Amino acid sequence: MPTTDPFSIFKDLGVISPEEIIHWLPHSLNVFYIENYIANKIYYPQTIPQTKEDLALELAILRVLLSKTTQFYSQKESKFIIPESVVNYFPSLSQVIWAYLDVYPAKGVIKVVTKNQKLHILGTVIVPEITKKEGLVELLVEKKKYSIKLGDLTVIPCLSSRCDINFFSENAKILGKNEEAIEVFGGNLGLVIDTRGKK
Amino acid sequence: MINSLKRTRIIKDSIEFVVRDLPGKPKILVQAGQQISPQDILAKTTINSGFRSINIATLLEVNPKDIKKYIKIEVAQKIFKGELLAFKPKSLFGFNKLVTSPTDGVLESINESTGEIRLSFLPRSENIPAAFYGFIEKVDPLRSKVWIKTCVTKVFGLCGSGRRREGVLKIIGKRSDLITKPKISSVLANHIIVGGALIYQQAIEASVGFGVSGIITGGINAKDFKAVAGGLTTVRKFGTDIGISILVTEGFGSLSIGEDIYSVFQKYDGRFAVVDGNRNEILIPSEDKDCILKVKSIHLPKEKLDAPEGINGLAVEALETGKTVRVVGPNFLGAEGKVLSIDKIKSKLPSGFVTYMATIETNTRKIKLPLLNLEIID
Repeated sequence: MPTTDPFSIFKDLGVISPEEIIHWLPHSLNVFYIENYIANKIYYPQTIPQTKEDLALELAILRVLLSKTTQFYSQKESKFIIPESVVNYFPSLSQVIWAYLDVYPAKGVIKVVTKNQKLHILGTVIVPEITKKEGLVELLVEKKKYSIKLGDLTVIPCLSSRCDINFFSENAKILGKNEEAIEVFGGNLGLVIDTRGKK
Repeated sequence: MINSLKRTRIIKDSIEFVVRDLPGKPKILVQAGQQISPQDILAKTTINSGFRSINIATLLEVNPKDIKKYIKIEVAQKIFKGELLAFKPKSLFGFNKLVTSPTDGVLESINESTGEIRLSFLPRSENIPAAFYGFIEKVDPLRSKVWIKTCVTKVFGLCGSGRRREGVLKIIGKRSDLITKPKISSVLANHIIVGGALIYQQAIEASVGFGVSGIITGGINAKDFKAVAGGLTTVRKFGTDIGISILVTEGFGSLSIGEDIYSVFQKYDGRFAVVDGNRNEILIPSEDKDCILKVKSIHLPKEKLDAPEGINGLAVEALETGKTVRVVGPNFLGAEGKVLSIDKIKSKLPSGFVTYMATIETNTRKIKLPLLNLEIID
């Protein structure tokens, strides 16, 4: 106590519109509720959501705030940078990565890092190029086999600092190939594979 | 030991420098070092207290461009309350129609495109009472300000807007009431109204129109607050003012004024107070004349004369059973209660957050909430 305010790093919390947030919500919410929720969050930043609906609202706020800046995604270095306050706040890192993937046009193999004094690697996100939205991706991660349906977003644990993976799919490619063996970064997040295709 | 945030909401019997902004062109009658009582006169002043618009065309049922021929006084002429302002003789099947002046004033202008006239109120002389027990610390005739060292009860809001204004506290509803436009009327002019859980935009607009000095509300819709304050910020600000001072005590949405704060306003209902929205505070003079001894014995550094204060302080304090807390999280926001127990292990919430929980007892129920969503209050 007190917890870190996840949104303090963003400058726009007070000016985002409820309409922008509604776009990312899985359920309908009254505009007044959203506006007042944000305002209360500004004045009581230490608070946490109790319900799934309020968590979804905070993740929608995160999506809108991310969409207003490019400082947390480096296309050149193929890297997601997650502020430490965001990592420490949300109950699941995969929910945060989902927000990043919804907002940023990431492709290929993306390193995920968090930043406080220095960078810490949290894991890797793989966004294959989908040629046909049916079938499977076969993944061999540290000698364990995973079959992932195309169209899903899946998190695979990989706690060691580096993980060897073998990728195979008839309808998806990474690094331009249907079959590839690569070494990726592991960590608290592990390996996230996003086979949802174009958003 | 588990800590929680503690927010200062009320300070009783605080020795402070209070600034009195004297309206009009005052002749200041007090000097630095002088002891004062509430009934003493600080200054004599002449106040030009505004104007009133009257739509003569609507009242006489005539075309706006014709109103000049029915108005019975000239522009710049004085008129007293009840005197004939406009007259239209009866037509073939009609009646005489007349408009009398609702106030003492001067006809300032006639608008033939809208049919309205503007009556500016006659300047009036006023004695400005001291309103506080204390000592005059500083007099600034150029800026028409007097600093008084005095004893006050300070109530802090969560946020606010508007410059320092004075007025008489007037409770206009229960702490959970919704304040709508019909609750605002001209009798509330120069008052600081204490409302309920939510004040609507139309009620704020009506308050500005009727010359209300200030509004104290538990909650406000964020959209309305942004319109008044220019934005949402926790950073200290001094600039915003739309002609009224607003103090929001609890937060955004419909939120009853906290029992702790409401009980202070109930005690001082009908008394003079100073509200400063930009500094999130209201100052209420002490009624105890013996406080003058305390005022005399406590030294305040001169820097406090100009140093801005007033933002309610946050501190960290150990949360223990029996302490009074206020809910600041999304569920049950604004509820107040006593801590009955604090869990020794963390719980997982439906949202997925894993955190310590406390059971609190409010007036109506027992609820279990995350510690992070509670703040200790005095």
